[in-house]
Amino acid sequence: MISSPEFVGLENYRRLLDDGEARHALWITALLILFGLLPTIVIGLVAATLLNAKFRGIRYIRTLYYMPIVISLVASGVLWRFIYEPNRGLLNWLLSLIGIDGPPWLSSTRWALPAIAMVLVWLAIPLSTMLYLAALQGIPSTVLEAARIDGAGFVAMLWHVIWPMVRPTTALVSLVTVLGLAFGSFDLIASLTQGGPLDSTNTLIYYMYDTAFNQLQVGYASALAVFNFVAVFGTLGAVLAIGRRLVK
Amino acid sequence: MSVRNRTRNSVHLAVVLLGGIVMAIPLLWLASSAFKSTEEIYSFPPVFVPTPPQWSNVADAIDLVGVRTIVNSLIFSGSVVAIQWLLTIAAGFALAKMRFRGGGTIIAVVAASMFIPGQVQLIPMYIVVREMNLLNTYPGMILPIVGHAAFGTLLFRQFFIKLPDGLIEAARLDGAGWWKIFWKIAVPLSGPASAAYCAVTFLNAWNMYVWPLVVATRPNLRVLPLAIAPLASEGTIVPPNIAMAALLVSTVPVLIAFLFAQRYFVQGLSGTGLD
Repeated sequence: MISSPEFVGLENYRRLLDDGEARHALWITALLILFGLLPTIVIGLVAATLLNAKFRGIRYIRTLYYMPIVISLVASGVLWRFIYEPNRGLLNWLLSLIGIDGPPWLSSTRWALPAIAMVLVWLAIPLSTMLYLAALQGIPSTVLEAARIDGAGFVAMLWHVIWPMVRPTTALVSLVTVLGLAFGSFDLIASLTQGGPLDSTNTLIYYMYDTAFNQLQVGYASALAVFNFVAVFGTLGAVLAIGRRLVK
Repeated sequence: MSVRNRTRNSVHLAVVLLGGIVMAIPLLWLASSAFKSTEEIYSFPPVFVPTPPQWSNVADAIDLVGVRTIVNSLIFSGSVVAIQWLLTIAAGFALAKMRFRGGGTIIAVVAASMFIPGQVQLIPMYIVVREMNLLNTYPGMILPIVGHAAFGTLLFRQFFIKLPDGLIEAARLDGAGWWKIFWKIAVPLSGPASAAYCAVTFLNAWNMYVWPLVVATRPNLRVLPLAIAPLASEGTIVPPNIAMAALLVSTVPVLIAFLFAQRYFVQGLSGTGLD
């Protein structure tokens, strides 16, 4: 199936430098991280803030937010293909109710990547909410009470009080989410779009798999794996550094 | 004041409930579609409540994926959990409570390995399994996944560090060996941490797709995600209601487990004692 290995020095890395497809895949990966990370942080934090309350039955409502965590990426691929169905799908029907003519999500080069990102965000919100809720429960309620008595509204409270206090959690959520978007997205892309249409969802991890197990070039795919690893952790370092600057 | 508070509270509750419903819609849609008849699944505008629910879809779905596939998933996930739990709890205990040379180095190496995603290790893992002639075997499928023991080792180490040293000292003075201390003291006390760890590990193994896809392609080793994945392809001939029922069969057992053991799942996933 795969020929026996032969040592070629840095040949595979040199090939990487001239590979336009790898550059494209890097760009797609970066876009996916961008589309996926911000909503996961914002929605997770807002949801956790709202869920950090003492109502009767709040635990059941929390469960609603947590439920997507049990469904596998592959199963959500099947489910969302059905939801994204352009003519009869649930999403386009809901959009038609408010007068929007929904796009053919998965077969459009423009909408396929956002569609993938949307599923990944839906799958990432449970963990992000859990982590933020754990952080919020560690904040003494007197702090939040004091801010409320001083007249802070919901948004002011989030931005000036909570956001600075949950910074370590934001770093953790970013780490987990970026890894999920960069590497974990493979299962979903493999089951929904196979990198298409026209390579518009061909992320580095999918490109690596395709090179190794469909084109049987294990050597070059290994170089791609290393490149992918370095690129993602570079991005992550940059994100965390910018984040530290932003929330001084 | 109290009136304003009450209004604010009901708005708060309404918003949070609405968000929860939006999060749950895809799963509710899955549950409803799994029981629709052929007319209902293709009707537009969509039907929300199948009347009458077509229970036979579930039997058709089980036929579609095959009982053997469900058993394989149980064997794979169960073995991964059992072996990995034993390895990680033992290693975590040793690194927390036994003093030996190089312990710090081991912890550092274990922690560093956590940052190399499984997908990046896919190719080397595949080559190793192939060289050992273990492709398309249960051990070839299970053992490399068991090796991803960093998270569990560190989790149990954190847990056992909090265990008072006096407890172990006392047992040692009474003449108990490490083995006995481990089995009689450490393991029984680790209940909540073990439950949380096993819950999350099982969930991950149950949902694993790319690794089995690469090393175990024979039908007699096929696990559920491999049977489910083709249903997402454009050219599938399986009607959507049967496909949704197949998702139900693969997801509902885990969902029920999650609802019962939510506390442990949440603890295992967020590494905290919530609720």
